Amino acid sequence: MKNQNMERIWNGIWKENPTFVMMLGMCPTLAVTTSLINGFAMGISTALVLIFSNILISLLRKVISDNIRIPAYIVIVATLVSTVQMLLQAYIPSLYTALGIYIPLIVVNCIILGRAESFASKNGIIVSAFDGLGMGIGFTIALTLIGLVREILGAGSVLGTVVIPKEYHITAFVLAPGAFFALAVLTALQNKFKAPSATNGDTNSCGAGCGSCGEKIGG
Amino acid sequence: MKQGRILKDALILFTITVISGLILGGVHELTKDTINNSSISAHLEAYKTVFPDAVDFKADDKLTDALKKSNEELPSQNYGNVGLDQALQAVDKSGTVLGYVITSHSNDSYDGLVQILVGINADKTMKGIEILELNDTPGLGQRAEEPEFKGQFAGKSGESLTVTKSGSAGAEEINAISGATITSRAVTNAVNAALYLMYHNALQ
Repeated sequence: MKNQNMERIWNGIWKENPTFVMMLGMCPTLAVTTSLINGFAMGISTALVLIFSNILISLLRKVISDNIRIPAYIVIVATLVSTVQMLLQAYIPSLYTALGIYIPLIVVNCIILGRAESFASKNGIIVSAFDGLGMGIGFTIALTLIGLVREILGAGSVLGTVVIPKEYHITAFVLAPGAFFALAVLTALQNKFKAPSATNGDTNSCGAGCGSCGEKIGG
Repeated sequence: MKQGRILKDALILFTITVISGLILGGVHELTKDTINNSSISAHLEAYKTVFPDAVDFKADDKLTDALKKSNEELPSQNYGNVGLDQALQAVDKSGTVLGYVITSHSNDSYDGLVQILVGINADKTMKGIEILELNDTPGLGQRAEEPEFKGQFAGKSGESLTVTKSGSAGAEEINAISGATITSRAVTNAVNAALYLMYHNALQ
């Protein structure tokens, strides 16, 4: 049992990393990774919601039939996100001001629906929670990495500390095109070293449930 | 048989939605007051950064009327899509009015809304500005929050300010943030809206 839980975490971080391997949740990935801290904050908030949504959906998996699963999941996730948002705003306002604009974005993150659909709806509560944790950590690492690359190249800084003089900044990297460049290069490196990825033809890498989840719920 | 299943599904979905609605309503009721209080204290802190020597910030009927009048007149000025949200008197311990803190906004920033707080002394010179809300590109428009840009406003006087790209701003000019002229203009025009209130309606 313990091994299975650890396997879920490793799976989320490496084998089925939501960003680099499954290519899920691309909209928040491209939109908010303008700096390291932004990527990290978005990753952590998504991870928290993912854990709770996986628990709830796993809990209700026998009640919700196949026909109504998508609207039911969306209602559950949206309720969860709104509750988190209001609680944060009331009790930890400093964190809310930092994360404010990202919290509503979590609802439309397809990793959450993807995991609900392909994992939580078929598995027990504890292992689903660990799946959410693993996926959340994997997502956080990916976003932090892309954020780091874009911040260094675009604004010449790491965590706000300037490391490259102003003359050598490539401003495009903090804008939308930079997000595509950074992601493309990171994915290209992955392909070069034949790491498992949805883009290098190794489609079996993400098991049975996952290939279909990409089709049903696109990024 | 099939109809029964549809009804059952609909009922389950209905139940989930109702429970979600109840939870949301409950959380909203629970957190409403706390959220209100914390946003008031956050605003008070921003007022204090703009006007450190004031001890209290008071609403004034005349000022509120002047604000309404200015909001009606502002669209005909050349400041774009700007508006005033709030105007308060900054008073010291003895009750003397030191100046005014004005919340104004512009909808012309690169990413839409920018809301700022403008401190204006009683003699109509600028005390300083503080950015309340700005969701612009980090490294570009977001640099409006850095002292290098917003610090320029302190000490300026004049009825309206303009943005210059020359890098050497004159008395009634503000240096644009390089690569973010739109944001610079939006912030400056929101300041102009506050100045308009002072010059045309409040301090006659």
